[in-house]
Amino acid sequence: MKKVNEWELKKKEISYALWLFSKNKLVVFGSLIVVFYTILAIIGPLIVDPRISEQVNLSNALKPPSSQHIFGTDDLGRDILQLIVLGARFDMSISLVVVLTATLIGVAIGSISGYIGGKIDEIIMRFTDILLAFPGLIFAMGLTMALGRSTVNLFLALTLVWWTGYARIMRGQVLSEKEKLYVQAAKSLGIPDFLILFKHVFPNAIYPILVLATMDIGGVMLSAAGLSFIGLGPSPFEPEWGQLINRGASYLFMAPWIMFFPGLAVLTASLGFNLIGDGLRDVLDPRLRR
Amino acid sequence: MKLYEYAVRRLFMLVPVVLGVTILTFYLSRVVLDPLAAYVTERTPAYLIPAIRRQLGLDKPFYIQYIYYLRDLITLNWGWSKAGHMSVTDAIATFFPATVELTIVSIVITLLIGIPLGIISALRNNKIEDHASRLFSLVGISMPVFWLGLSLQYLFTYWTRVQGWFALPSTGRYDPILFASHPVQRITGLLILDSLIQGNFVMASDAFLHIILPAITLAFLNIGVVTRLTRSSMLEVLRQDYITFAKSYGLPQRIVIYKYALKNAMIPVVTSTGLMIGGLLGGAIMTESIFAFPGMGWLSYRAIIFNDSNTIMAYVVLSAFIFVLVNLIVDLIYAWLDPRIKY
Amino acid sequence: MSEKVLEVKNLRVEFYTYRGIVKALNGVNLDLNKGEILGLAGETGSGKSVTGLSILRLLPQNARVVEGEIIFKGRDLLKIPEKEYNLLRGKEINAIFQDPHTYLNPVFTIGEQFRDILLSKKDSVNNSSKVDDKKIEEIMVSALKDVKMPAVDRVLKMYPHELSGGMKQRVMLAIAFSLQPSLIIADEPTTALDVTIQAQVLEIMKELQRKYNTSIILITHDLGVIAETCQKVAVMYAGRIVEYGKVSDVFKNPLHPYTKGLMEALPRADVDVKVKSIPGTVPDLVSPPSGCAFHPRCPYAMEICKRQAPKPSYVKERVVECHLYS
Repeated sequence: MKKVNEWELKKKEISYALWLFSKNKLVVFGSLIVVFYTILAIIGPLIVDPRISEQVNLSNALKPPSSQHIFGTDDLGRDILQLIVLGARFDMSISLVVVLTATLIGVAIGSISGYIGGKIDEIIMRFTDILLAFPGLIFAMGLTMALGRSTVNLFLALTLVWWTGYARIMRGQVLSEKEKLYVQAAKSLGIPDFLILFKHVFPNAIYPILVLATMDIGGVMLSAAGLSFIGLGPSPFEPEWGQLINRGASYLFMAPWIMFFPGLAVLTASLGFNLIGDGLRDVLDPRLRR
Repeated sequence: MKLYEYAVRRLFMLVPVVLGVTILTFYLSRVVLDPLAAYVTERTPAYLIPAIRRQLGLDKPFYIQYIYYLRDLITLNWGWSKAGHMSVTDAIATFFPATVELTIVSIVITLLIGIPLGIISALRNNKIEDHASRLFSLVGISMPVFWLGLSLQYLFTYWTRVQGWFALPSTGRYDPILFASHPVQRITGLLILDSLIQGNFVMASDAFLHIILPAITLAFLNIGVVTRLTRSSMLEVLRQDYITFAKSYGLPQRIVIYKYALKNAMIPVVTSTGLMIGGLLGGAIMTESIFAFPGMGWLSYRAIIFNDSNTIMAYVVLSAFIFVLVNLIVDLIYAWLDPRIKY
Repeated sequence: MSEKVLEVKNLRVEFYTYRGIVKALNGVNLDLNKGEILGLAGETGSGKSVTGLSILRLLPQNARVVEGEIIFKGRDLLKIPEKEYNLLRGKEINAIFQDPHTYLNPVFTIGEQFRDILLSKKDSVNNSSKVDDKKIEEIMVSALKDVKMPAVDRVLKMYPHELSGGMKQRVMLAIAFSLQPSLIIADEPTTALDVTIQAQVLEIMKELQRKYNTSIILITHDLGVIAETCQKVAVMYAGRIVEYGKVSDVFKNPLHPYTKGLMEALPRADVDVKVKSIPGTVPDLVSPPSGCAFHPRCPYAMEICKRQAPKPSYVKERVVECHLYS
């Protein structure tokens, strides 16, 4: 009897999924956006001199969009387009890092909780309930206030808020797989638990987690920008998009471009991830797959 | 068991969560944060500090401090708000109703626009309206609340005025001059409601004009979510056999969709409304500060600037309590709506 | 003599799927007389449900009626506009479906749903457009009593999930017969029920049919059910009717090889014979076999069977589509 390795099945499914993927125009569009911003994040400081974020040139301040400054200049005379390019790095990286960390933590805790079950599971679930009682942004705000304003604390706060979603999904999946016969059979053969988890449970659980993670990247980006906007982000000179919008708010009626274009950047970057996530959800929906 | 028995039982189950919330906020506000900061500035003479610490109970072990903390919470002794220049409880009483009003108006807008859009989307499945609404939803959830708020503010309070068209008020909750000549007694704290109750249509419309932009800003994100949810829910329901059954007996299309399908489809939408509250309370911080709308969100923003941890922690605890409570209510409504739920 | 209530002429229906065009019905001809119960027998994929859905005009969106007529009381049901057909729904033509668990709306009580149906047919309920609540109540109660439902008043206030499968099916019967339609299409009404409940439900159905002289098309794969309830039977295979006649005749002396195979596949309590199954599988309706669709599985297949589809032949009162009889 051939042993069926779930991962091999998954590889076939993944290539089929990718093919379906490429047919969806919105998804392709989203992927392009994400690729664009990723490249920008990587080469940003290479094409634009990062020192311009600290240069003050008041004679050039508050200039509207023109051929010289496509997106205009801010109150310190800095070119908005350049600032956006530089800012891509921060927002993209923090979103990706937060989601990655949150996913890892959530999946780990969720699987352990679901697999072990019993009292430990209950305690962990109560704990996540408590965390989930706080509305996301408000919790992040409270945490950042308590921990102090810095990039690291922003990262910590966001990660702490986001991991619970993955823990829940993972736990649910593990719970439903746990009862299945092949798991009991494997256990009776003496196969160690973590192998069972890894080889059989994970491949099935990945789909909803993947969808959630992709869309969360957009969500985290919005939250990070939001927290920066209210002053809980990195230092004021950092060309982070949320900061720029904050600056722009003070000059809203005089120089609306200062807040407008960085905000557009946040919107489009987030939209890119959400488009991909949405397309993923459709592609991976077991009822639509045939 | 009866619904109210179920409600009571659920309330009891909340207790450990609520306690956990208080422990966590206690930890954040007393252990992580320096509780002295609210009462002490650089100008406080050094010799006074130990006395202040004793008065605040900071020399006692943590679990005792936690008891005091709980006692203070329950007796509504929530400290002093630097940002509000009054006690925290007074600040909440003054500023929270505005946020409540904003949240309610926002939800109403969300449902009034989102549900019909979702139904249309479902009925015109896969046609152009459907794709358009899908894109609209995705843009909605990708949009930074504060950016939208600022853009709307620029557009409808400044640009339209410059063009010589109408203009909405850009900040505040009401026009103080107008209020002076048409005063409204405070009954519920919800300005529009209070004005209407007292027949004061001038202030009611003024308050409405002031609230509409912030409410739309907050609603935008949720409209997308509600539309998609209604759409998928309706599509799911319309596929069901009991819809075929109703059609086979010639029930008119109107009744089939709006009575038979909708009641089933609305169930998940109701549950998600509870979750929206959390986002609204959070988004209120940015929106209220942009529009200088005097609610808890605006106060929190000031609190961040002034490093006023009392106010912020109060808002955090308050939001958690409200969120938990609202979700309980939503669960009860769900149990009431769907007769299959056993309790 | 009995008059014809329904005439299906040369009905062809196709489904557009991702796999290709499924030729579900390939020229179905049926006659139904007044007060008659006709059994429509066949395996899954034979097209029996599609026939029922075509008459009810409840085909899914990807279906197309390519050809054919369905004459009901002088009108072609396929040609009249939807609005006109809707007037017939419930009043003249009703349906009973297979799974009683899914066919009742879970968030409304039995009474509410029954009431809504009756209200939508208000002109046949009371002869004015004013709603007479008492009359409606009377109709509902009497309909439920007809199906031997206990505690009628309580049942009306109950939600579907509070009733058992058998009770729900009886509710469906009650609703179907309450409007005294001319035609009822019953699609596998007992398949989802336990055998003992099956018998009960069939008894009730027969009783009500006798009472109101309704014409019924009973769609099922269960030949036992047909033997018990129907007067005539039409056997379907691959979208065509391969044999049609009186139940007693067809069961005692099946003419078509497929029917023969079906009879032989039935376990018998009275005769000691081995149960034989028909070799092969149901044909793929996207690319059906040439000629007679049954020829790959037929023990009597001849050369002509592969090339030409047989035309219906008349053997006494029976109709068979087989080259053996042409």
